[in-house]
Amino acid sequence: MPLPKISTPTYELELPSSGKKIKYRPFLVREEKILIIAMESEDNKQITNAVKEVISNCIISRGIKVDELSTFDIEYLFLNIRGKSVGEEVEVLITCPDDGVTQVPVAINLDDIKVETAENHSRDITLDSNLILRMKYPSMEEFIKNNFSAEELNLDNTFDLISSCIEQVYSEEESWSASDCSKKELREFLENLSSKQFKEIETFFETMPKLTHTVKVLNPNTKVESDIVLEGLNSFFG
Amino acid sequence: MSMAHEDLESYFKVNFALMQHHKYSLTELENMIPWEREVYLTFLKQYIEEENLKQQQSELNG
Repeated sequence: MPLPKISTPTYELELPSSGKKIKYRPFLVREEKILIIAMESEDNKQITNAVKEVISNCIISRGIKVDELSTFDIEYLFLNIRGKSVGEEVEVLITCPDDGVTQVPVAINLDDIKVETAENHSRDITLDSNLILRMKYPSMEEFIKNNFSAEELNLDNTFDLISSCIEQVYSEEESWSASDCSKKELREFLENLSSKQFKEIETFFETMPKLTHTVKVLNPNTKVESDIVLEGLNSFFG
Repeated sequence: MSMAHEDLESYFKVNFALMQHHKYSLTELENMIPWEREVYLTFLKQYIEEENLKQQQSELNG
């Protein structure tokens, strides 16, 4: 006899990186348990793995590999799944910037949080009059490796992260795919870039799409109203 | 971090109370959506409060 199917409502969203529509379901109480246990461990790697596991379980559309999704896709997906599972409204404590001490609770509707891309953002970096470097966004796997591993973030890790985000180098006549190059070759390629070219790569990472939401807070003590920009998943659940 | 909406202690306490006093099974509870379990919990609290009130009134009248 086949196992009974659990019926849950399904929803659809567009992945910010590709615009691809995917179907998902809310997480269940047993999946929330995985998240609670991970959060109480206070181990970032465990939290990230728990988030990844829950997201994989909740994605219904076939062919989506969570490991290959970009970090902001994962954050956006998780935000939506969490909204449909627990509730769309979260309360965050915000420290008023005018005195840096007073904390004010602010209710945020998760549906209002969008992934925003800076206007000057581009995946194509012009290296010279002929060559263009096309970047890809870091995946969750790279994000964990570079943020939560026991090793300290050093120059080697930074180069590893950047080289893992190279998609291809192309000119009008030719193209070189990063998947055909060895790690050493990519590393050497990066080391040969000028500081101006390297700065462009830095800009790519700085202007990458991210979860953003602006809230107004009124300091009850000073009566000063300020705009606070919340960015990244941690801002909304911190 | 509050990505989930409760802590581990309250998670187990609530599940235990629902199983011990209200005949839910762990499988039923774990297969609910978190807000769904919250709804049942709210109704149960409401029901218990009403029953307590009825009991108090009958004690006063009786």
